[in-house]
Amino acid sequence: MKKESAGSKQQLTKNRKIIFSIISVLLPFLFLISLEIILRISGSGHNHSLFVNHPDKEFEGYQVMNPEIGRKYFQNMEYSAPAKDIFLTEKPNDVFRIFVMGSSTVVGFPYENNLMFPRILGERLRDAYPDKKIEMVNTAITAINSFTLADFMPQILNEKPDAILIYAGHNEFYGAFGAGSNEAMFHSPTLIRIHLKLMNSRVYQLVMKLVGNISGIFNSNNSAGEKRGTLMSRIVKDADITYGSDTYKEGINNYEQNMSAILALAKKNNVKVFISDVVSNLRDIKPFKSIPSGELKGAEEYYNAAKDFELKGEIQKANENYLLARDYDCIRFRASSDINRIIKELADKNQASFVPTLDLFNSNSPNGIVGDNLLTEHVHPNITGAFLLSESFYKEITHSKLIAPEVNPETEKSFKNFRITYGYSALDSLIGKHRITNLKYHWPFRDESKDYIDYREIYKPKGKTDSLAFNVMAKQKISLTEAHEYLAEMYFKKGDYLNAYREYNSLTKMNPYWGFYFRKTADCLLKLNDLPEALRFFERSTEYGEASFYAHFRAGEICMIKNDFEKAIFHFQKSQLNADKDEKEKTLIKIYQALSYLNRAAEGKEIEAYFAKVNPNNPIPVPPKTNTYMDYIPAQVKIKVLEAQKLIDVKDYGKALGLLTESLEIKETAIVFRLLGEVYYKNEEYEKAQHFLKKAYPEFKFDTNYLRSWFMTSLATSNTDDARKTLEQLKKIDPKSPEIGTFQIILNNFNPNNINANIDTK
Amino acid sequence: MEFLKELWQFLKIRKKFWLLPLIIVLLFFALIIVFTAGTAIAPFIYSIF
Repeated sequence: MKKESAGSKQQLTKNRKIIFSIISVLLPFLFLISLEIILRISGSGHNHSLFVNHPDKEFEGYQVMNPEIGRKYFQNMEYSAPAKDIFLTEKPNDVFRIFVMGSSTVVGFPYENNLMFPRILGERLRDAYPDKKIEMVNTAITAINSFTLADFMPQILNEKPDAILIYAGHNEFYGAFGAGSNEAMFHSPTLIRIHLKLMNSRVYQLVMKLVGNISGIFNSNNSAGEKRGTLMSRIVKDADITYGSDTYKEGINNYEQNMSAILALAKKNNVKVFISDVVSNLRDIKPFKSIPSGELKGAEEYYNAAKDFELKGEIQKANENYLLARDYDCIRFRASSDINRIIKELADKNQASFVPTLDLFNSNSPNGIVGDNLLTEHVHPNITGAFLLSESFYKEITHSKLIAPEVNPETEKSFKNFRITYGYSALDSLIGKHRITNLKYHWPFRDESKDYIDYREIYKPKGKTDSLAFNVMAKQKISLTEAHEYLAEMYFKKGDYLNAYREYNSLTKMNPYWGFYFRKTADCLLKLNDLPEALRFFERSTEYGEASFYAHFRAGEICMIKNDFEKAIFHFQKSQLNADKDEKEKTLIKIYQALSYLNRAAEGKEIEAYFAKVNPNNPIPVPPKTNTYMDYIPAQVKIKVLEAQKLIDVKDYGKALGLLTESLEIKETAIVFRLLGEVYYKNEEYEKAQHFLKKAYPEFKFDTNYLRSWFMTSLATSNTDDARKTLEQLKKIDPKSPEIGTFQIILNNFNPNNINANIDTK
Repeated sequence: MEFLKELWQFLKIRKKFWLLPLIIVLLFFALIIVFTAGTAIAPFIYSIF
């Protein structure tokens, strides 16, 4: 045999030898490439692209975050699915695209998607910039840290973001690949980065599976309970990371390197980054573990000292000691001061916008020290905290003028009113409560190995909503969406439209891409007499191209009441696309009426001819145009507004203003803005009148009475530009108005030095 | 056909030459996997429910 081989060696020509050598060098690589292709074609392994085509046909042309991306970072562990935010595969020029990076706080833990801060912020920006299409894509996954964020970054940049928002830092030690999570003797951030790159290869995944199977032979603990028990006992033993230890330094260095790479990459690609410092509970969470080390006292000593100082009113000392207690806590679920220092330094170095969330939280906390007032436990904001976190980014984004030079003052809501009208209900709050209560029965809040308590077994729900929340969370018998639906339908049947609206509105924030819940919410708003909001929700229901006769027809009807006939025609025409014969005839009548009001009846000749054929004896009715939009007073403020209107009639402006201002605390409405503006005008407080009438403009710009008030107020504040625009609007909507001539004369003879001579305060 | 037979003979004799890189690559993969293995604690804390 050996002879034969030797013989064949000799027989090879020199050329063949060279060719064979090249082939043999390439062979391993050809083999690996072929294997990779075969594995991909056969569907073996996992696609670890950050974004994938939306699987639903209705959303063709959209991308969504890969629901299985978590598998890349948490191979055999449970991981939370990311939010299903969608964005267009081909980015149009008029879209402003924002990606948000972070972990559990950004996911909204302990609440559901409607209360995650990127969704709150998306809605807030939508109000502030109604003319902009804003895509807000939340890429956060619970328990990831800067290694995962750095791994996401190139793929996020591929999707042409206009801005990236980052809130991250608490998971640097115990998150995926964190310094306190690595079980290997040799820790190398470079190897982690190589591993994450290789994880995109199916061959690598195959090798990983083999290694896992081999190690599985030696570790036969398979049940989830056993796994958890084993893990918890190991955690309790190994989780300690003292301040300044090698593991501590490693975690801090990892964070600095990864975040530095992220920010440098964004800078290189000219993408604006908004990065926030991170907030933790200082006052109401005792250090999880206290180990004195060298000259340093144990964290608990600092915590107790802080409590004493706070009691004595020595707030600065209290704050210093609370910070030390947090920084020296050996169980590092709360980011230390070093993390916040790095965030600030890196933001400055890379021209990123620093978002001072900590300052905002401090200023909203007693003695300027954050505790349970804004956080649910050690790091996650409660509902008020989630709104504040969103507000913190909102302020920096609007201040940066990145989206537009100015926010729209007519549509931007006050922070308070925005929160009142945002979609969440008591059910969401209870979901968070149950998650947190359960969390606090476990390590690190309690030593569960000594005295295990199953919250699910001991809790007795209080009332229907609580029972539903408990079933959603602990028993998992129904989903949160089903629970909201159940409550919404129950309230609607009872005629409790306000609570039905709250439940459906929560569903629109949980599922912002489905038209159905927007229509249901709009129905409730119609019952509540809130036409502006109902119109907004009907319009949102068709935003993603869903053809709905009902939504467009209702929107058209509201526009008719508002006297916005152009828009009414648009909606009625859209509604025809999905209408049967009767519905089509109904919309044709409406279109004809709208055209008549616009003095364009000639364009309705075809409609006229159609009905003349169907019903020759009955011409299409066109009732006289009216201004009835003011008659629709939202139910929440109806009593106060009606009372205020009575007071206005008897010229008791002081009390009327009081009532109207009180109604703004319940809900800001266009009708109240208008009434406030008109009363202030009558009181000759023109600046205030202008402020409120301006806010009413989008809703009442088709109402001649309103335009009159707005015109006179504009003159009273010497704002001739607004007066001129108002006159143009009046000419547009009512060219035959007798006031046009008078207004023109007033405007032509306007004397800024003698305002009272120009205006009519009656 | 003759070419493939000769190539096969060539590869059979010089296994180290082409199998070694493959083994090295696979070993490298295995080492990275071992050295980056870890159990993140945070997901266990937040995914109890």
